[in-house]
Amino acid sequence: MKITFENVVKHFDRAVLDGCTLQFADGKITALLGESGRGKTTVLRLIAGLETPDAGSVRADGRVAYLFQEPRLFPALTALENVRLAAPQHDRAAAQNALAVCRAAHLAEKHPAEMSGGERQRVALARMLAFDGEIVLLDEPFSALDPDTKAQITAALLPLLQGKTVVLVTHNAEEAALADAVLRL
Amino acid sequence: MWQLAAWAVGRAVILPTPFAVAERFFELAETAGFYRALFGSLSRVLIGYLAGTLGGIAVGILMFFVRPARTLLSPLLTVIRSTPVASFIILTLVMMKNAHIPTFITFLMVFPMLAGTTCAALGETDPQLLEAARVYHVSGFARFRALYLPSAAPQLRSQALTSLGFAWKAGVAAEVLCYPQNSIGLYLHDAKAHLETVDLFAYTLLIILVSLLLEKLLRLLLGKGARAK
Repeated sequence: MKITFENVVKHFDRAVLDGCTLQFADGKITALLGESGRGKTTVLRLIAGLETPDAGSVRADGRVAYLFQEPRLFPALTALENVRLAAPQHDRAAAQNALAVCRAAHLAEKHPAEMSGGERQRVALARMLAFDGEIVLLDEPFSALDPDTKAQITAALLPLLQGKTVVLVTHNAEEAALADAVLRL
Repeated sequence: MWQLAAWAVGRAVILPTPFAVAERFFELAETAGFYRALFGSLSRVLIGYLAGTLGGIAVGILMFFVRPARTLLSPLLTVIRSTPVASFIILTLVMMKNAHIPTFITFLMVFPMLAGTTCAALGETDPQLLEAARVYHVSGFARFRALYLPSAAPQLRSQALTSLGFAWKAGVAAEVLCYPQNSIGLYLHDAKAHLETVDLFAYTLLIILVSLLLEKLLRLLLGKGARAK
Protein backbone atom coordinates (compact mmCIF):
# COMPACT_ATOMS: atom_id res chain seq x y z
CA MET A 1 0.00 0.00 0.00
CA LYS A 2 3.06 2.17 0.00
CA ILE A 3 3.57 5.07 -2.42
CA THR A 4 7.10 6.17 -3.26
CA PHE A 5 7.43 9.58 -4.87
CA GLU A 6 11.00 10.88 -4.82
CA ASN A 7 12.87 13.59 -6.75
CA VAL A 8 10.35 13.40 -9.56
CA VAL A 9 10.86 15.49 -12.66
CA LYS A 10 8.12 15.72 -15.26
CA HIS A 11 8.08 18.04 -18.24
CA PHE A 12 5.30 18.58 -20.72
CA ASP A 13 5.64 21.87 -22.57
CA ARG A 14 7.19 23.18 -19.33
CA ALA A 15 8.49 21.67 -16.10
CA VAL A 16 5.39 20.64 -14.18
CA LEU A 17 7.30 18.83 -11.45
CA ASP A 18 10.94 19.63 -10.88
CA GLY A 19 12.62 17.37 -8.32
CA CYS A 20 9.42 16.86 -6.36
CA THR A 21 9.38 14.54 -3.33
CA LEU A 22 6.11 13.75 -1.57
CA GLN A 23 5.42 11.48 1.36
CA PHE A 24 2.04 9.83 1.55
CA ALA A 25 1.23 8.17 4.85
CA ASP A 26 0.34 4.47 4.45
CA GLY A 27 -3.27 3.68 5.21
CA LYS A 28 -4.15 7.36 5.65
CA ILE A 29 -5.87 10.07 3.63
CA THR A 30 -3.53 12.75 2.31
CA ALA A 31 -4.99 15.87 0.71
CA LEU A 32 -2.97 17.40 -2.09
CA LEU A 33 -3.54 21.11 -2.46
CA GLY A 34 -2.15 23.68 -4.84
CA GLU A 35 -3.08 26.20 -7.47
CA SER A 36 -4.16 25.12 -10.95
CA GLY A 37 -1.26 24.02 -13.11
CA ARG A 38 0.99 23.06 -10.20
CA GLY A 39 0.92 19.38 -11.18
CA LYS A 40 -1.59 17.84 -8.77
CA THR A 41 -3.25 15.72 -11.46
CA THR A 42 0.18 14.85 -12.87
CA VAL A 43 1.14 13.45 -9.45
CA LEU A 44 -1.93 11.20 -9.50
CA ARG A 45 -1.27 10.12 -13.11
CA LEU A 46 2.32 9.26 -12.24
CA ILE A 47 1.24 7.17 -9.24
CA ALA A 48 -1.39 5.42 -11.39
CA GLY A 49 1.28 4.60 -13.98
CA LEU A 50 -0.45 6.63 -16.71
CA GLU A 51 2.66 8.82 -17.06
CA THR A 52 6.32 7.96 -16.64
CA PRO A 53 8.62 10.42 -14.84
CA ASP A 54 11.46 12.05 -16.79
CA ALA A 55 13.62 11.49 -13.71
CA GLY A 56 13.16 10.33 -10.13
CA SER A 57 11.28 7.42 -8.67
CA VAL A 58 7.53 6.72 -8.53
CA ARG A 59 6.14 3.44 -7.25
CA ALA A 60 2.80 2.21 -6.00
CA ASP A 61 2.78 -1.10 -4.16
CA GLY A 62 -0.79 -2.34 -4.51
CA ARG A 63 -3.88 -2.05 -6.67
CA VAL A 64 -4.46 1.57 -7.60
CA ALA A 65 -8.03 2.85 -7.98
CA TYR A 66 -8.21 6.23 -9.68
CA LEU A 67 -11.24 8.48 -9.74
CA PHE A 68 -10.63 10.91 -12.61
CA GLN A 69 -11.89 14.47 -12.64
CA GLU A 70 -14.34 13.42 -15.38
CA PRO A 71 -16.52 10.34 -14.79
CA ARG A 72 -15.10 8.49 -17.85
CA LEU A 73 -17.88 5.91 -17.85
CA PHE A 74 -18.11 3.57 -20.84
CA PRO A 75 -21.03 4.94 -22.88
CA ALA A 76 -22.18 1.60 -24.28
CA LEU A 77 -22.63 0.04 -20.84
CA THR A 78 -25.22 0.60 -18.13
CA ALA A 79 -24.16 1.95 -14.74
CA LEU A 80 -24.20 -1.57 -13.26
CA GLU A 81 -22.14 -2.97 -16.15
CA ASN A 82 -19.64 -0.14 -15.79
CA VAL A 83 -19.20 -0.85 -12.10
CA ARG A 84 -19.14 -4.65 -12.54
CA LEU A 85 -16.38 -4.40 -15.10
CA ALA A 86 -14.11 -2.87 -12.46
CA ALA A 87 -15.15 -5.17 -9.58
CA PRO A 88 -12.92 -8.16 -8.80
CA GLN A 89 -14.29 -11.20 -10.71
CA HIS A 90 -16.98 -8.82 -12.04
CA ASP A 91 -18.92 -9.51 -8.85
CA ARG A 92 -22.50 -8.32 -9.31
CA ALA A 93 -23.25 -8.03 -5.58
CA ALA A 94 -20.13 -5.92 -4.99
CA ALA A 95 -21.12 -3.65 -7.87
CA GLN A 96 -24.69 -3.27 -6.57
CA ASN A 97 -23.39 -2.54 -3.09
CA ALA A 98 -21.00 0.12 -4.40
CA LEU A 99 -23.83 1.75 -6.34
CA ALA A 100 -25.98 1.75 -3.20
CA VAL A 101 -23.22 3.38 -1.12
CA CYS A 102 -22.94 6.13 -3.72
CA ARG A 103 -26.73 6.58 -3.78
CA ALA A 104 -26.85 5.41 -7.37
CA ALA A 105 -28.68 2.06 -7.06
CA HIS A 106 -31.63 3.46 -9.02
CA LEU A 107 -29.29 4.25 -11.94
CA ALA A 108 -28.16 0.62 -12.36
CA GLU A 109 -29.87 0.06 -15.72
CA LYS A 110 -29.26 3.53 -17.12
CA HIS A 111 -26.59 4.40 -19.66
CA PRO A 112 -24.28 7.38 -19.00
CA ALA A 113 -26.03 9.45 -21.68
CA GLU A 114 -29.26 9.17 -19.68
CA MET A 115 -27.69 10.54 -16.48
CA SER A 116 -26.93 14.03 -15.19
CA GLY A 117 -23.33 15.10 -14.49
CA GLY A 118 -23.76 14.47 -10.76
CA GLU A 119 -25.27 11.01 -11.37
CA ARG A 120 -22.38 10.05 -13.65
CA GLN A 121 -19.93 11.18 -10.98
CA ARG A 122 -21.69 8.99 -8.40
CA VAL A 123 -21.48 5.96 -10.69
CA ALA A 124 -17.79 6.71 -11.28
CA LEU A 125 -17.31 6.80 -7.50
CA ALA A 126 -19.10 3.46 -7.25
CA ARG A 127 -16.80 1.99 -9.89
CA MET A 128 -13.79 3.21 -7.94
CA LEU A 129 -15.17 1.65 -4.75
CA ALA A 130 -16.02 -1.66 -6.43
CA PHE A 131 -12.48 -1.96 -7.78
CA ASP A 132 -11.35 -2.24 -4.17
CA GLY A 133 -7.91 -0.72 -4.67
CA GLU A 134 -5.44 -0.57 -1.80
CA ILE A 135 -4.29 2.82 -3.03
CA VAL A 136 -7.05 5.27 -3.93
CA LEU A 137 -6.46 8.39 -6.00
CA LEU A 138 -9.28 10.93 -5.96
CA ASP A 139 -9.11 13.89 -8.32
CA GLU A 140 -11.67 16.43 -7.11
CA PRO A 141 -14.18 13.64 -6.50
CA PHE A 142 -17.09 15.72 -5.27
CA SER A 143 -16.91 18.66 -7.67
CA ALA A 144 -20.03 17.67 -9.63
CA LEU A 145 -22.17 16.87 -6.58
CA ASP A 146 -24.68 19.08 -4.83
CA PRO A 147 -23.97 19.83 -1.12
CA ASP A 148 -26.55 17.35 0.26
CA THR A 149 -25.42 14.44 -1.90
CA LYS A 150 -21.82 15.31 -1.22
CA ALA A 151 -22.39 15.17 2.57
CA GLN A 152 -24.24 11.84 2.34
CA ILE A 153 -21.68 10.20 0.05
CA THR A 154 -18.76 11.47 2.09
CA ALA A 155 -20.29 10.00 5.22
CA ALA A 156 -20.77 6.64 3.48
CA LEU A 157 -17.42 6.70 1.76
CA LEU A 158 -15.08 7.54 4.63
CA PRO A 159 -15.49 4.26 6.55
CA LEU A 160 -14.88 2.33 3.31
CA LEU A 161 -11.61 4.17 2.76
CA GLN A 162 -10.34 3.22 6.22
CA GLY A 163 -6.93 1.54 6.03
CA LYS A 164 -6.39 2.49 2.40
CA THR A 165 -3.70 4.89 1.25
CA VAL A 166 -5.73 7.74 -0.22
CA VAL A 167 -4.51 10.78 -2.14
CA LEU A 168 -7.22 13.41 -2.43
CA VAL A 169 -6.73 16.30 -4.85
CA THR A 170 -9.02 19.19 -3.98
CA HIS A 171 -9.41 22.96 -4.07
CA ASN A 172 -11.97 22.80 -1.31
CA ALA A 173 -10.78 23.47 2.29
CA GLU A 174 -13.79 21.56 3.69
CA GLU A 175 -12.80 18.46 1.70
CA ALA A 176 -9.16 18.86 2.71
CA ALA A 177 -10.30 18.76 6.33
CA LEU A 178 -11.35 15.12 5.81
CA ALA A 179 -7.70 14.21 5.32
CA ASP A 180 -5.25 13.00 7.95
CA ALA A 181 -2.48 15.06 6.35
CA VAL A 182 -2.21 17.91 3.86
CA LEU A 183 0.51 18.42 1.24
CA ARG A 184 0.89 21.57 -0.82
CA LEU A 185 2.39 21.72 -4.30
CA MET B 1 -37.27 15.40 -68.91
CA TRP B 2 -36.52 11.84 -70.01
CA GLN B 3 -39.80 11.77 -71.93
CA LEU B 4 -39.00 15.10 -73.61
CA ALA B 5 -35.50 13.94 -74.50
CA ALA B 6 -36.91 10.67 -75.96
CA TRP B 7 -39.36 12.66 -78.08
CA ALA B 8 -36.59 14.97 -79.23
CA VAL B 9 -34.34 12.06 -80.21
CA GLY B 10 -37.25 10.22 -81.78
CA ARG B 11 -35.48 6.86 -82.03
CA ALA B 12 -36.20 4.17 -79.44
CA VAL B 13 -32.98 2.38 -80.30
CA ILE B 14 -31.03 5.36 -78.93
CA LEU B 15 -33.34 6.61 -76.17
CA PRO B 16 -36.64 4.81 -75.48
CA THR B 17 -39.47 6.57 -73.66
CA PRO B 18 -40.01 5.91 -69.93
CA PHE B 19 -43.37 4.38 -70.80
CA ALA B 20 -41.77 1.86 -73.19
CA VAL B 21 -39.16 0.99 -70.57
CA ALA B 22 -41.77 0.51 -67.83
CA GLU B 23 -43.90 -1.62 -70.16
CA ARG B 24 -40.92 -3.79 -71.06
CA PHE B 25 -39.90 -4.01 -67.40
CA PHE B 26 -43.27 -5.48 -66.47
CA GLU B 27 -43.18 -7.81 -69.47
CA LEU B 28 -39.79 -9.11 -68.37
CA ALA B 29 -41.04 -9.42 -64.81
CA GLU B 30 -43.51 -12.02 -66.05
CA THR B 31 -40.76 -14.33 -67.29
CA ALA B 32 -38.91 -16.94 -65.25
CA GLY B 33 -35.56 -15.89 -66.72
CA PHE B 34 -35.95 -12.46 -65.14
CA TYR B 35 -36.13 -13.96 -61.65
CA ARG B 36 -33.38 -16.49 -62.31
CA ALA B 37 -31.16 -13.60 -63.39
CA LEU B 38 -32.20 -11.48 -60.42
CA PHE B 39 -31.55 -14.18 -57.83
CA GLY B 40 -28.40 -15.35 -59.59
CA SER B 41 -26.93 -11.85 -59.51
CA LEU B 42 -28.16 -11.17 -56.00
CA SER B 43 -26.64 -14.36 -54.60
CA ARG B 44 -23.27 -13.76 -56.27
CA VAL B 45 -23.07 -10.16 -55.09
CA LEU B 46 -24.35 -10.83 -51.58
CA ILE B 47 -21.88 -13.68 -51.02
CA GLY B 48 -19.03 -11.40 -52.16
CA TYR B 49 -20.36 -8.53 -50.07
CA LEU B 50 -20.72 -10.64 -46.94
CA ALA B 51 -17.26 -12.17 -47.35
CA GLY B 52 -15.75 -8.74 -48.06
CA THR B 53 -17.48 -7.15 -45.08
CA LEU B 54 -16.63 -9.85 -42.56
CA GLY B 55 -13.13 -10.34 -43.95
CA GLY B 56 -12.55 -6.58 -44.08
CA ILE B 57 -13.65 -6.08 -40.48
CA ALA B 58 -11.49 -9.01 -39.29
CA VAL B 59 -8.44 -7.74 -41.17
CA GLY B 60 -9.11 -4.16 -40.01
CA ILE B 61 -9.10 -5.36 -36.40
CA LEU B 62 -5.88 -7.28 -37.02
CA MET B 63 -4.28 -4.22 -38.66
CA PHE B 64 -5.23 -2.01 -35.73
CA PHE B 65 -3.91 -4.28 -32.99
CA VAL B 66 -0.91 -5.82 -34.78
CA ARG B 67 1.39 -3.12 -36.13
CA PRO B 68 3.38 -5.40 -38.50
CA ALA B 69 0.10 -6.53 -40.07
CA ARG B 70 -0.77 -2.87 -40.68
CA THR B 71 2.61 -2.17 -42.24
CA LEU B 72 2.30 -5.22 -44.44
CA LEU B 73 -1.35 -4.90 -45.49
CA SER B 74 -1.79 -1.12 -45.88
CA PRO B 75 0.02 -0.92 -49.26
CA LEU B 76 -1.92 -3.94 -50.51
CA LEU B 77 -5.24 -2.29 -49.62
CA THR B 78 -4.14 0.93 -51.34
CA VAL B 79 -3.27 -1.01 -54.50
CA ILE B 80 -6.63 -2.81 -54.50
CA ARG B 81 -8.48 0.48 -53.93
CA SER B 82 -6.60 2.26 -56.72
CA THR B 83 -6.92 -0.46 -59.36
CA PRO B 84 -9.85 0.00 -61.76
CA VAL B 85 -12.59 -2.63 -61.43
CA ALA B 86 -12.34 -3.41 -65.15
CA SER B 87 -8.66 -4.34 -64.76
CA PHE B 88 -9.49 -6.81 -62.02
CA ILE B 89 -12.33 -8.30 -64.06
CA ILE B 90 -10.12 -8.82 -67.10
CA LEU B 91 -7.31 -10.21 -64.97
CA THR B 92 -9.61 -12.67 -63.21
CA LEU B 93 -11.17 -13.76 -66.52
CA VAL B 94 -8.07 -15.83 -67.16
CA MET B 95 -7.80 -17.10 -63.58
CA MET B 96 -11.20 -18.40 -62.51
CA LYS B 97 -14.59 -19.66 -63.64
CA ASN B 98 -16.89 -16.98 -65.04
CA ALA B 99 -19.57 -17.71 -62.47
CA HIS B 100 -17.19 -16.89 -59.61
CA ILE B 101 -15.77 -13.65 -61.01
CA PRO B 102 -18.62 -11.31 -59.91
CA THR B 103 -18.43 -12.69 -56.36
CA PHE B 104 -14.68 -12.21 -56.28
CA ILE B 105 -14.89 -8.69 -57.74
CA THR B 106 -17.55 -7.72 -55.21
CA PHE B 107 -15.33 -9.06 -52.46
CA LEU B 108 -12.39 -7.02 -53.80
CA MET B 109 -14.46 -3.83 -53.81
CA VAL B 110 -15.81 -4.23 -50.30
CA PHE B 111 -12.85 -5.77 -48.48
CA PRO B 112 -10.41 -2.80 -48.56
CA MET B 113 -13.17 -0.31 -47.71
CA LEU B 114 -14.19 -2.21 -44.59
CA ALA B 115 -10.62 -3.06 -43.56
CA GLY B 116 -9.50 0.58 -43.84
CA THR B 117 -12.57 1.96 -42.09
CA THR B 118 -12.39 -0.60 -39.27
CA CYS B 119 -8.72 0.15 -38.60
CA ALA B 120 -9.29 3.93 -38.67
CA ALA B 121 -12.48 3.79 -36.59
CA LEU B 122 -10.86 1.69 -33.86
CA GLY B 123 -8.09 4.29 -33.71
CA GLU B 124 -10.64 6.95 -32.85
CA THR B 125 -11.68 5.31 -29.58
CA ASP B 126 -11.64 7.91 -26.80
CA PRO B 127 -8.15 7.77 -25.19
CA GLN B 128 -9.59 8.96 -21.86
CA LEU B 129 -11.87 5.94 -21.74
CA LEU B 130 -8.98 3.68 -22.67
CA GLU B 131 -7.04 5.12 -19.73
CA ALA B 132 -9.98 4.35 -17.44
CA ALA B 133 -10.04 0.78 -18.81
CA ARG B 134 -6.33 0.46 -18.10
CA VAL B 135 -6.66 1.80 -14.55
CA TYR B 136 -9.54 -0.56 -13.76
CA HIS B 137 -7.78 -3.59 -15.27
CA VAL B 138 -10.46 -4.17 -17.90
CA SER B 139 -9.32 -7.21 -19.85
CA GLY B 140 -8.50 -7.11 -23.56
CA PHE B 141 -11.70 -8.77 -24.74
CA ALA B 142 -13.97 -6.79 -22.42
CA ARG B 143 -12.19 -3.61 -23.50
CA PHE B 144 -12.82 -4.51 -27.13
CA ARG B 145 -16.49 -5.30 -26.52
CA ALA B 146 -17.24 -2.37 -24.20
CA LEU B 147 -15.10 0.36 -25.76
CA TYR B 148 -13.60 -0.25 -29.17
CA LEU B 149 -16.57 -1.91 -30.82
CA PRO B 150 -19.28 0.58 -29.73
CA SER B 151 -16.95 3.43 -30.66
CA ALA B 152 -16.29 2.06 -34.15
CA ALA B 153 -19.85 0.83 -34.79
CA PRO B 154 -21.34 4.03 -36.32
CA GLN B 155 -18.54 4.30 -38.88
CA LEU B 156 -18.71 0.60 -39.70
CA ARG B 157 -22.47 0.84 -40.15
CA SER B 158 -22.10 3.79 -42.50
CA GLN B 159 -19.32 2.09 -44.48
CA ALA B 160 -21.29 -1.15 -44.74
CA LEU B 161 -24.17 0.81 -46.27
CA THR B 162 -21.97 2.73 -48.72
CA SER B 163 -20.08 -0.33 -49.85
CA LEU B 164 -23.28 -2.28 -50.52
CA GLY B 165 -24.08 0.11 -53.37
CA PHE B 166 -20.54 -0.23 -54.73
CA ALA B 167 -20.72 -4.02 -54.38
CA TRP B 168 -23.93 -4.30 -56.35
CA LYS B 169 -22.71 -2.06 -59.18
CA ALA B 170 -19.28 -3.71 -59.36
CA GLY B 171 -20.81 -7.21 -59.27
CA VAL B 172 -23.20 -6.48 -62.15
CA ALA B 173 -20.38 -4.76 -64.10
CA ALA B 174 -18.32 -7.93 -63.71
CA GLU B 175 -21.27 -9.97 -64.97
CA VAL B 176 -21.50 -7.79 -68.07
CA LEU B 177 -17.89 -8.60 -68.91
CA CYS B 178 -17.88 -12.29 -68.03
CA TYR B 179 -21.62 -13.05 -68.56
CA PRO B 180 -22.24 -16.04 -66.28
CA GLN B 181 -25.50 -17.99 -66.65
CA ASN B 182 -28.56 -16.57 -64.87
CA SER B 183 -27.29 -13.07 -64.37
CA ILE B 184 -28.52 -9.54 -65.01
CA GLY B 185 -25.13 -8.86 -66.56
CA LEU B 186 -25.72 -11.51 -69.22
CA TYR B 187 -29.06 -9.93 -70.15
CA LEU B 188 -27.43 -6.50 -70.28
CA HIS B 189 -24.68 -7.88 -72.49
CA ASP B 190 -27.19 -9.53 -74.84
CA ALA B 191 -29.37 -6.42 -74.97
CA LYS B 192 -26.34 -4.35 -75.93
CA ALA B 193 -25.20 -6.89 -78.54
CA HIS B 194 -28.65 -6.97 -80.17
CA LEU B 195 -29.24 -3.22 -79.83
CA GLU B 196 -32.31 -3.86 -77.66
CA THR B 197 -32.09 -0.52 -75.92
CA VAL B 198 -35.46 -0.87 -74.20
CA ASP B 199 -34.25 -4.10 -72.56
CA LEU B 200 -31.02 -2.36 -71.59
CA PHE B 201 -33.00 0.37 -69.86
CA ALA B 202 -35.40 -2.13 -68.27
CA TYR B 203 -32.56 -4.12 -66.73
CA THR B 204 -30.85 -0.89 -65.64
CA LEU B 205 -34.11 0.04 -63.93
CA LEU B 206 -34.04 -3.34 -62.19
CA ILE B 207 -30.45 -2.72 -61.03
CA ILE B 208 -31.42 0.67 -59.59
CA LEU B 209 -34.51 -0.70 -57.85
CA VAL B 210 -32.57 -3.61 -56.33
CA SER B 211 -29.84 -1.23 -55.19
CA LEU B 212 -32.39 0.99 -53.43
CA LEU B 213 -34.15 -2.00 -51.91
CA LEU B 214 -30.90 -3.54 -50.65
CA GLU B 215 -29.85 -0.27 -49.06
CA LYS B 216 -33.22 0.09 -47.38
CA LEU B 217 -33.13 -3.47 -46.07
CA LEU B 218 -29.60 -3.13 -44.74
CA ARG B 219 -30.44 0.22 -43.15
CA LEU B 220 -33.38 -1.46 -41.43
CA LEU B 221 -31.23 -4.39 -40.31
CA LEU B 222 -28.39 -2.24 -39.01
CA GLY B 223 -30.83 0.17 -37.40
CA LYS B 224 -32.41 -2.71 -35.50
CA GLY B 225 -28.97 -3.94 -34.49
CA ALA B 226 -28.09 -0.49 -33.17
CA ARG B 227 -31.32 -0.23 -31.19
CA ALA B 228 -30.88 -3.73 -29.76
CA LYS B 229 -27.58 -2.59 -28.23
